[in-house]
Amino acid sequence: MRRFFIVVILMSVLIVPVHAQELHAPTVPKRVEKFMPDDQENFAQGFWKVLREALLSIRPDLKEAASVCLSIAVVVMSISLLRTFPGTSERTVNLAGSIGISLALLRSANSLVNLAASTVAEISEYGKLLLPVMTAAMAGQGGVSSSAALYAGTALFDALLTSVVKNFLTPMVYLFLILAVASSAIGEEMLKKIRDFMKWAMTWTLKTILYIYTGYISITGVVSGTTDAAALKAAKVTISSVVPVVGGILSDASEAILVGAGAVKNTAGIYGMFAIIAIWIEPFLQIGAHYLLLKATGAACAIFANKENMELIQDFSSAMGLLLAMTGTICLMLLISLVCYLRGVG
Amino acid sequence: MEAIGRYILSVTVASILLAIAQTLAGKKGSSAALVRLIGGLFLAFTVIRPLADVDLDAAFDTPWDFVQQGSDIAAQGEQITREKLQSIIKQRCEAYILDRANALHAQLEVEVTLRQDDIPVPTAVQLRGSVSPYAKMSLQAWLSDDMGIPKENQKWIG
Repeated sequence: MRRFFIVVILMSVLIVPVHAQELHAPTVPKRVEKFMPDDQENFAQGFWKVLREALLSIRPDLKEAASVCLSIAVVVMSISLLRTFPGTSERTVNLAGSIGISLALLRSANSLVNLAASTVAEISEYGKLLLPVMTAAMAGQGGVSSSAALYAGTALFDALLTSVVKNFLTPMVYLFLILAVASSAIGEEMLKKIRDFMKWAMTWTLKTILYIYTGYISITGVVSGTTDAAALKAAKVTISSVVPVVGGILSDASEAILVGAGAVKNTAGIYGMFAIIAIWIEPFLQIGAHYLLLKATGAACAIFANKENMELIQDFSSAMGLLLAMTGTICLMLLISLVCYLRGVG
Repeated sequence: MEAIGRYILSVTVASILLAIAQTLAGKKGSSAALVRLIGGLFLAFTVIRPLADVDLDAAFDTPWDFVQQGSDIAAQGEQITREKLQSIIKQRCEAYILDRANALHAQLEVEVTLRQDDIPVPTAVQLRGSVSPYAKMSLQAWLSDDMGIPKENQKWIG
């Protein structure tokens, strides 16, 4: 009977750490709830579920992208036909072609730019809620320095990237398109050079932010991880030097706490990963579908389109590529951060 | 960041205006050269002028907030863990003492006080209930030797 009571008491004590940690990942926005896998223990299976649901949901967008590409093909063919008439000015035909292609593409390009900007903002907002949970759970597991450094880096680069996307890259994508249309219509070399510079600047900005972030994470991971591991080891040595009975109790309790904090951190981290992927994947696939179809249309139109009109179609697909890079960068950054949190101390 | 957006816009607008002016002026002749010269100066002014107003000090204000936030959140996480650890240790110590008291046929209520620092070890204990002199003496010695709670910190009630 006495053993039974001891077992009951010990069981109730062991339940405490996991149950009362009060840390959990923030719930996903309503829009993406349908993408979240029911079983989150198998990451690969869960990811394929998210991908399958997202692919099924973008079918209407594929139809829209296909109709846009078809209208571009019609414009390019009409321009080619116009060019066959004798006495037609090359400049006028170019101008007509540029205006026609721009009219066919600008509306969908505008909605995709807005979609990319709102997706970046949504991922960033979710990250702002998730990062404190992961930081607190990792600190509870003994990674005080690592979690603080990881939070500081991720929050800083997340804010920086969101700000850059909102105030710098989104207007630059519009300006890139304006310059692309203008250079296609006028045929001026200087405009093409500025357009190319803008594309390079946008790509360079995104790459640089990601490179610096991964560099920061690698260095702080090693430095802070070593500090935390040393602190944990010192704590274990101190515990073992306490009175034997109390030392044993302390050691068991610390172990239970660490296991509990680790479980909370893993659960929140994996849920957070799925949540970020779920927020990101549908817009990414929508933009990706437009990007690929525009590339295919550009290749198909190469048979009968002139150089300026071809370049304009390629520029619009490049703009889609930049939007993919914008959304992909923030998603990748947060996923890297979560992997670092999940990797733990030491 | 909004200022950068405005800057890019002004450079783009200036470039388009210059391109249109050059197209209208043609590629040869003195008027084309004049348009190219004036346009080039105008574009250079548009590019260079706003750079003089850049406030580099303001750009370095932000990061330290995140560093402080990270430390605060980590400290909160550590505090949550410490409270849980104290709660578990308190419960386990009390259960352990009760188990020992039961073995000595003493019916007691136990409340342990822990040291409030990184290693929460028991520093004092309050025992309430009826206990025989032998059991009390035995428990006092055990609490002092095995649990590290000195006799002066053992409070017996009842």
